[in-house]
Amino acid sequence: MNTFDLLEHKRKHVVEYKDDVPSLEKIKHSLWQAWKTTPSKNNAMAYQVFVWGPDKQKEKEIIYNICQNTCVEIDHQGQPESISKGNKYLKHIKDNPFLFTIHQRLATPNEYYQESIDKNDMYYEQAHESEMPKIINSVAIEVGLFAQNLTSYLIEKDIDVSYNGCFSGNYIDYQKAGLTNITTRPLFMLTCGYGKIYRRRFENDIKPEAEEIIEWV
Amino acid sequence: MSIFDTMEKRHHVYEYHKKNIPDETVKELLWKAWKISPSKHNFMPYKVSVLGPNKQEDKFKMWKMCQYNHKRMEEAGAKLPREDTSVNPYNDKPEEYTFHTNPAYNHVRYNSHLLIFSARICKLNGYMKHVVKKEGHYAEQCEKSEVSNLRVASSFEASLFASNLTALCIEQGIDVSYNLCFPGEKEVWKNMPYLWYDKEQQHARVFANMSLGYGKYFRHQWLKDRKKGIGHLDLKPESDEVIEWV
Repeated sequence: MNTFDLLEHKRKHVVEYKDDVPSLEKIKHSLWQAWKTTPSKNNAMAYQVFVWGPDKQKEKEIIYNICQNTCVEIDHQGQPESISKGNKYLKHIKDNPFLFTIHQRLATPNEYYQESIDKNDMYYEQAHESEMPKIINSVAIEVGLFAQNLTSYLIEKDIDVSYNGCFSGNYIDYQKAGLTNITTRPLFMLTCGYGKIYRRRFENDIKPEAEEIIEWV
Repeated sequence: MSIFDTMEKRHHVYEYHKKNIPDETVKELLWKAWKISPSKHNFMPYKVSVLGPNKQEDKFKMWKMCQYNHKRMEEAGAKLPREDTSVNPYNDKPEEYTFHTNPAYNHVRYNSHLLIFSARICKLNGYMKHVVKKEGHYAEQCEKSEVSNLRVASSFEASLFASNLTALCIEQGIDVSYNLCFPGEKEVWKNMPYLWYDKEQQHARVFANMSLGYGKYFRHQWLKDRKKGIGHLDLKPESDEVIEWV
C-alpha cells in the first residue's frame, strides 16, 4: 500500500485500546525501521525514545496524571475562569500496551565528526549541555520525522497509534512523581496497540484549508 | 513497495539536476501531505511557503541565512567574539560571507522547489469554538504571544508534514533534502515578508527548510569521493543508544 492510502485510510486516533498486546517482535522491528530511516543532522540523533511496555502500568498512570494536570494548568493560565477538567482524549496514555516518550538527549560525535572537532574545524552543538535549549527546535523536527516513520511502520503492521502533545515539558515534574529515569525534556508521546474505540469525527472539526497552510510565493 | 523500502531510498542531495518538477506535481504532493498529516486540535500551526523555479533570488537569500548561521555557530563554538545577533549582516555586506560555503547547504540554493516551514497564527474551527466556550479550553495556537512558547510543538507538527511529503515524493522518484541550520531569532526575517506571522513587528519563526528536485550528486557519494578513509565513519548512534526499553 502506498503512503497516502495507508495513512489516509488506516490512521485514526484511538480513544481506547483492546486488551490484546502486539507482539514484541513487531514493536522492536518498527522501532528499528524508524531508527534506520530517520535522518539526523550530524548523525547526532539528539533524542531518546523510552519504551514503556505492558508491565509499566504504574508509570503510565503517573505520566497520564501529569498530562492531565498540564492541560488544566494551561487552560487556566489562558482563561482564568476556565472550567476545564483536562482532556477527555488522553485516556490512551494510561491504558495502552506500549507508550513511547521521546526526550532530548546529549549526543556523542561519531568518529567522522570527532576528527573535525579535534582539528577545530567544527562545533558539535549536540554534545554540549549548554546548547540543549538552543537546539531544541531542530531536535523537535527530527523527533517528528522519527515519530511519523514509526507511525507508518506500525500501521503497516495493522497496529494503531495515537499521539499526545499535551504534557509537561519540565522533566523535574516527572522526577518528583518518581520517574527518576527522565532526566531531560520530553518532546513527544505516542501510544500503540489495537484500537477498540476511535475518536469520533465531528462535522465541524476540520483542518484549515490547504491554501491556508500552503502558500506559493 | 513497503514504506521502509521507500524511505531507504532517501539520500541527502548535494546537487540536483537542472530539470524542474512540474508545479502541478508539487501541488498534488503538497495536497496529499496536507490531507494525511494530523494536527493537535486540527490547528496546523505552521505554514509552508513554496519557492518555485522562478524564485532563485529568494532561495539565495535563504542559503545566505544558512551560511550566516553556520558561521556564527562555529565562531561561538570556537570561543571567538560572537557577532551581534540582533543584526543580520547579510542586509549590509553579503560579499563578506560568500566564500564561507558548506556543500551540505547547496540544495537550499539550487533546487526545483524550496519549501520553508514557519509559524502561523491559527483560527478556531467550529468544533474548537465550542470547546473554548463550553469547556474552557485555551487555544494558544491562536495567540501571537504564544508563538515562541509553542515553537517545539509546532516544529514537531511541521515535521510530520515534511516526513509524509518525503515519502510521497520518493514514491514519485523525486528527491528531497532538509536543512535545519538558519537563524532562530524572530527579528532577522525582515526581507522575507511572506514568512511573517506578525506583520506589524515583521517577525517570523522558521522551523525547517526542505528542497525538492531530481538528485544528481548525493552526500554519500561526496563522502566517498572527498573524504576517503574517513567518510565511512559517519554513522548514526546505535539503535540501543537512542531507543531504551524502560
